[in-house]
Amino acid sequence: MTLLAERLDEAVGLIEPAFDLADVKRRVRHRRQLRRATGAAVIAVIVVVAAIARAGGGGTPSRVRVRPAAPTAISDVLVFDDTGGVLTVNLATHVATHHPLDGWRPGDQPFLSERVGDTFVVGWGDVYAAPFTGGASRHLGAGVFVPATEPGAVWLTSYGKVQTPTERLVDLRGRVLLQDAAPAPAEVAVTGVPGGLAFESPTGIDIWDARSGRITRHLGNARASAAPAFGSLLAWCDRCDRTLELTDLRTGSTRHIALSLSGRTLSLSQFAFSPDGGHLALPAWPDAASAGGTAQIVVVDAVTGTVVDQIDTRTRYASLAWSPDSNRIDIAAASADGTEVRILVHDVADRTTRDLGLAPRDVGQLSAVLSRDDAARLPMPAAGGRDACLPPQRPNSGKPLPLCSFRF
Amino acid sequence: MNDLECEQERFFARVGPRLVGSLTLYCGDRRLAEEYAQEALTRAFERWARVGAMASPEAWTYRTAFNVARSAFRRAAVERRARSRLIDRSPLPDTADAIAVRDAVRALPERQRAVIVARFYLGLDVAETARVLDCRAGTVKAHTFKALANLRAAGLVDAEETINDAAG
Repeated sequence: MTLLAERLDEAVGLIEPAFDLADVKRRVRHRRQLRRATGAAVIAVIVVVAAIARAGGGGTPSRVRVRPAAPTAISDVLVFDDTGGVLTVNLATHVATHHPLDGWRPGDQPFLSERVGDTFVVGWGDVYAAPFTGGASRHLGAGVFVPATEPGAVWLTSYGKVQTPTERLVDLRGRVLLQDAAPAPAEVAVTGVPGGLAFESPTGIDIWDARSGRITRHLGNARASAAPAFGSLLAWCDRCDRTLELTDLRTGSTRHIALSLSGRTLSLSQFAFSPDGGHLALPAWPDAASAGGTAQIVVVDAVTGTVVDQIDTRTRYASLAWSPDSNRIDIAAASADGTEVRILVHDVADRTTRDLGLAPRDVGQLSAVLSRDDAARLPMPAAGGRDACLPPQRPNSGKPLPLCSFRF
Repeated sequence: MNDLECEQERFFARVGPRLVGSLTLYCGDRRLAEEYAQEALTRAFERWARVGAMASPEAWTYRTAFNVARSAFRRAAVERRARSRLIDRSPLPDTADAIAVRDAVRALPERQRAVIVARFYLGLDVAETARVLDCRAGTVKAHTFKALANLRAAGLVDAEETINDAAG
């Protein structure tokens, strides 16, 4: 035994990593910003699908049935967890419930998740569709994924041995609907658009049509960020502290929305249209140099293109979700170190914000919220399952938890 | 430097080199090993409030690292970044023996390779290895037995070398 251990040691030699602790901490800081920014990708898909459902979907069947929201008692929020699933939090009863998602491995990025219909798409490297109702996940393929505007589908980017990755539009059964080589190896797909993908390039946003394999449109002239598309509408910015651009890919027209963010920058990954398409909301995070800065939620009237509200969360980071009736924005407002997350609810019509209280601590990355209307559709454990995953047991488990609840 | 920073620095110093070494053996590529190790450490530090309180933060980090390495993705950007960061500070030994050892380990089936790296390079016992690889202790023992037989056939392990799993 000793001999083999020694030979392995000698085969590897004295290891001095080429990276240091500062490199890792830089990554952590960057990742935390992304993490706190996320729910949006989830939200955007919900919004798109819900909007299509409401509008009749142009004849396209939708998997989502939107129910009217209860006007009061907003007590449940859905938050991401990193122990293999998602967490619903009931602030009225102070009970949190863990919902396992098969296919989610320890260490997977919580923000690499999309809700598509009644399914969560999860994973990085190997992508799975995990049904809300529990049970086995379906393997969709290898690669990384971004949301698609087509209902019930996501885009997978597969990095094989060839230099140029392959882009595939797959449905939730793993069937390939469209496939083509990416336009260029250096470009990164950020969101699906009707019939194709939007890529971030060094000179702006490239719109790629999957059927022709061609770049059909180019937006901007500097490195830019794009948000998950809402139908044919794509929000993007290259000066994200000053202007939000809203381009209708069908007509080619672009609306410039001027912003006054004073020391903050838009986080486009958290961008969310209201389900009725009337408003859009997105967080603006304080710049890194702004030590005591706080995050704001910027609410824009999508019809007039004007900013109608700027909600100060009084915390460093924020993520948001629209209620299905478009009247309410649920906000998870996180402290700078991420240990304290408050749940806020903003009423769009009367422009008031209520603080509902603190979410449980130390249960993972509370990076995204869905409204209680969505959370209520998830299965709940039988009475005997309550307190089956007490918080003190969670840190030592290291394994995905079953469906279970605990008090906080 | 506060207590948290001291704790993280000690953890990094303790785990970082072994993580890179084990991933080098596991995936056979030092550049990718560096990238995967950094990714695993990043994930650990992101969740340090929980991971640091675990019975074995090392096990969680190793497990995450193996998961990362097992992923089928080959992101061009990741490879480019790894390549540009790779410098000659710690080249791999290139003696004939070292190359033969690395090749023999690389030739093992994936689970056997993971078990050998965890047990003989990281020095984990059966229970710890099972936790890292998310399998049962019996599976670890079986893979260890088969892997040693394969390495023995490759001339890497002496015929008399055995391992006592009974205690593990």
